[in-house]
Amino acid sequence: MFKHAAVNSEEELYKRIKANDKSAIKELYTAYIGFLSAVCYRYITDKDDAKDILQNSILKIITKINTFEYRGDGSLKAWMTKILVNEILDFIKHKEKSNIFSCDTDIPDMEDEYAPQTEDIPPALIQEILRQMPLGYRTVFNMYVFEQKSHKQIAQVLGIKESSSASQYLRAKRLLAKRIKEYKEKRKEENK
Amino acid sequence: MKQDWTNQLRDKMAGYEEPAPEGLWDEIEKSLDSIPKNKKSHKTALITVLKYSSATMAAVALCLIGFFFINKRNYDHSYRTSSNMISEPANKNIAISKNSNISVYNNILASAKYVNIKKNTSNPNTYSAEKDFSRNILNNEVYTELPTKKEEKTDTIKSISGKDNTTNKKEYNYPKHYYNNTALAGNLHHVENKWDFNLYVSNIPSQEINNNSYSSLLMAARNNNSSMDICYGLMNDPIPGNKYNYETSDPLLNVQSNSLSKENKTKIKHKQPVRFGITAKYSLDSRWAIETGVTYTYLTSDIYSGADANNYQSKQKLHYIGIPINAIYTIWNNKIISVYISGGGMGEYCIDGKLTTDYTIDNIVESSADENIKDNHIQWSINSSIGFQYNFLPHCGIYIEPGASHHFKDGSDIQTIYKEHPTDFSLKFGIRFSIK
Repeated sequence: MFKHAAVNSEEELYKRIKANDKSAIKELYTAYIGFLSAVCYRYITDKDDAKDILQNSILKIITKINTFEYRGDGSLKAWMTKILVNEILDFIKHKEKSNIFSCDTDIPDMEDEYAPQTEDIPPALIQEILRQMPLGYRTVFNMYVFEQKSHKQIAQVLGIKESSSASQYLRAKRLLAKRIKEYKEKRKEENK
Repeated sequence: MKQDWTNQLRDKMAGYEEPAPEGLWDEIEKSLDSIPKNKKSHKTALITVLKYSSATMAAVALCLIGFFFINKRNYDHSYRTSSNMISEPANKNIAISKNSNISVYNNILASAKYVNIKKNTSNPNTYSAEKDFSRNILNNEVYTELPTKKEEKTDTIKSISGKDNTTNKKEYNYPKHYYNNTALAGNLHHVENKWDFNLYVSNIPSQEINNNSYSSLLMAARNNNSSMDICYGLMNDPIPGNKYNYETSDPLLNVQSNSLSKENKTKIKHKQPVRFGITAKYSLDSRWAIETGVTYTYLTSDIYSGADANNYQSKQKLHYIGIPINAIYTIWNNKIISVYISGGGMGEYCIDGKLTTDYTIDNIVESSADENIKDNHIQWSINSSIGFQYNFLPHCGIYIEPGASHHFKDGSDIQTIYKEHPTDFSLKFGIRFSIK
């Protein structure tokens, strides 16, 4: 009985789902859908597409959770994210592949070493900046930074050259840094 | 260094959440709920109904035949006196055997020639049976009463070997049985002692209830009625779908194919079941027998789900132990050929199961998981079949058994060929022999 109270424990949730506790599935959804939605929106700007992908991924998670092996706190979240990102990448690869390279605009003229301080930047702003990036930048940057894939892996998944992945990442990074800088400057001016 | 601020960024975004799309959970729930409905609404449902009906009708017919014979026997039994027994049985037997030979001729085309041959050869023997009456009695008694004393067993063996022995005493001990067998159950039985035993042995059908392949070892443990049946059969599934891929077979995986990503496909390939069995048969009379035993069934399925680079591949292995109960009725038999029908049910329990899944992401096998499948549901099934046996040796024969079976829903989530094709046809081959 008390076990049910431990909604926040990933392991408890996992055990209950494995024990065929139907309510645990809803709890799992409630607990992680916010995070998964954020991940999805970071890649996919179209609301309908994002919803489709999320739905697909959640169903996949629910149906395949019995194949998941719990390996400590966070492993379930990581596993779910992986499924989602795979779903997203499948979508991008098949539906929007032609767009990945069609975005060679707006190369920021900035030195590579510029490292903006992001502590005081709201996550929602970063999310918005990423969403406004061209698809190629966005995808590569997300994969490299958040999914921690190597350029080799990214190139393999997206079917592009490794050098292309690296250059898109660099441009994305510069663009993000530029946007952050712009935001900071704007805020400074507002504070004056 | 260079990565520092992006690392920071990652940490920053790790806890970031956004509201889920509106109505997402509702649609997920709908998808989950709609799985079983989708399955049923396929046009294959009609075929399933037809197959189910045929199997059920076969079982019902079997029951009706059974009642008919049982009732008739009771009637005859009560109105006959023992004084009639000696004169009547043989004559009646001749008449009946002629009639039934004709009907068998009409009904069983494949066996027609054999029937005629048998008829010709058996009638003289039947006449002479009066002379060897004691042997007849003995054999019939074996059919009906299954004597339990050792001396009776030896008597039967002797009579089978064709020697007239001093078994007359049996005649008065078992007159009713003799009469009953000849008049009621013995439509086609040639009252020939030598052949009776062979016929009897050939009456033992394999006990397979299910359509699926298996082999069966029949061990009877009751005096002369003991017989052993070893069969091995491969399921013959004429319904396409046993080995082909389809997308709606697994309720779990089905979700994915129903889901919106068109790139995802779920394929399930159920392999042919393999079944072995050991069964014992008990003969109630010359026609009727019941049998039970233990079967082992091995089911495997390959499951593939996902898109090109990202997918899951699972192999499901299930081990079932089953206990069948069958009623067997011999339609016709002679020394070489036997035709019988069999019907009954079986309960199967999944004693062990394993689901091995390779989880592939970006064309790389990222992880592999073994999951034990445990299921407490019992898989019930009914079956009926018709069997043809050819005895190439006096106590050894091969047989073929086409039939139909239906597996009921067991309420479990395990996806098996039983669920995919609950009603199916099967073909079984086997070898069968008797032991004394």
